[in-house]
Amino acid sequence: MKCAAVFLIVLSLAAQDRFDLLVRDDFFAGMFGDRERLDKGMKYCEEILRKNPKHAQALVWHGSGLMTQSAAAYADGKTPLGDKLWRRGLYEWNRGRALAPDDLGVKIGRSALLIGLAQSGYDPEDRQGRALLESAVRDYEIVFDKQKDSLAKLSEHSRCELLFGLAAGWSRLSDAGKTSFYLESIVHNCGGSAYETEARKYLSQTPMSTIDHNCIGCHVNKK
Amino acid sequence: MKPCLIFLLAICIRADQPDAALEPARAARDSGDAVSLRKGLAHWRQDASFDGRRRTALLNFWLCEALYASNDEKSVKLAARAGLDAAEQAVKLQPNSSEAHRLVGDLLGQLIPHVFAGGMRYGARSTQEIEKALELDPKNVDAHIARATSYFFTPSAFGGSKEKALEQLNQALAFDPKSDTAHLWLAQVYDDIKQRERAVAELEEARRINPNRAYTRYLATQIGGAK
Repeated sequence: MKCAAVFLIVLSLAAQDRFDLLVRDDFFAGMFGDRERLDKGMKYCEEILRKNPKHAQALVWHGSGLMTQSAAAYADGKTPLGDKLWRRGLYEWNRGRALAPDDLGVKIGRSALLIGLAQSGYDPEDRQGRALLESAVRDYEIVFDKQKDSLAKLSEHSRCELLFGLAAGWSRLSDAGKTSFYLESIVHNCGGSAYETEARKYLSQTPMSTIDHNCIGCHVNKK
Repeated sequence: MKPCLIFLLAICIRADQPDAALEPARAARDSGDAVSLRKGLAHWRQDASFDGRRRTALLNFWLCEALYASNDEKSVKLAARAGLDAAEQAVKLQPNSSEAHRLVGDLLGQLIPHVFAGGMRYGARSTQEIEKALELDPKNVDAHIARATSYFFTPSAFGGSKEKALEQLNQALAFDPKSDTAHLWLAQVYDDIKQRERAVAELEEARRINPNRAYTRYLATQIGGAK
């Protein structure tokens, strides 16, 4: 009993620190089709949310799990259920963002997922979709602004995915100036990496095609 | 007589021949004639039978191609949605129709780039419908081509594969060597994997089989060769 209590306290302290490190492997595995690990991540978040319904990062990750479940529902031909899970997932993302407007973890998790989702389909005339993407890119701008003086201290993955997320987001929002700015930033800050090669490919195009960037060295570790 | 009236007349005359009835629409697709395709749709939309639903779905699918060829991507979303509704009704009417399942999968594929998070929301279902079509009829050429496009567009982390796309397209050609659609997709896959000479050769073959297809000319502007 005592051990369990200590475990929960540690868990809850860790959750406030880098919550994403605790759950992201399970959620990413879930997105790639491992329903068992998705369930594990969902249950973990639900346990946190049962104790603290305003835990913003748990809401964001739980919301992403609901969206993964919605894709499974669509695949099973359960369109109304898919729509319901999708709306609920969006609600949890937006609620997490509203609850913790200064939490970089919330911003990074939500923005990374939204920008990735927009790459898998985007209609610029869909006002809701556009608003979601704009909010994600604006949040990423805030993250960049806070981290720009210490970019070199971040891991290559964190640094270069942030910059590529910004380039891809602005590319879909048709802001050529900002897209080029972040591609140049990748060349400057991610030199010698696959990120630099990819950025140079886009910079050499006239006109530049819309950026589709797949996360490099991403989070699905094998268990 | 205006071309669209000829088109409607042809539909009325040939409506008792399921495949032949769509030849004028196929010609309209080839020439990128969205106006005639919409006229055809106005006719088939009234038909609640399985064939009516299947034809409505197919004409909307072809309309998507004509719209792409004329750079009218905004209208593709509407055509894909309308076609998807019709294809889903066709599946309800004949659950064991390979073609109806193929059309659901293909039209979902058309919709994906035009819906926020379309790949995540509809990608898996699109693939499942196409695989169902192949299970029901392993010789369905259009289903093999649809499976190839699914492999082509899906990110590798989610099961996409350019090599498998090539395999599926070659399988389609084994069943129908005169499928210019299969050659057009081979051209796009080869272009994507930087095998430009092969891409141009496939485009030339598509043009040789069907010299009238606007989409071939459109791809030629993207890839080069095959004017």
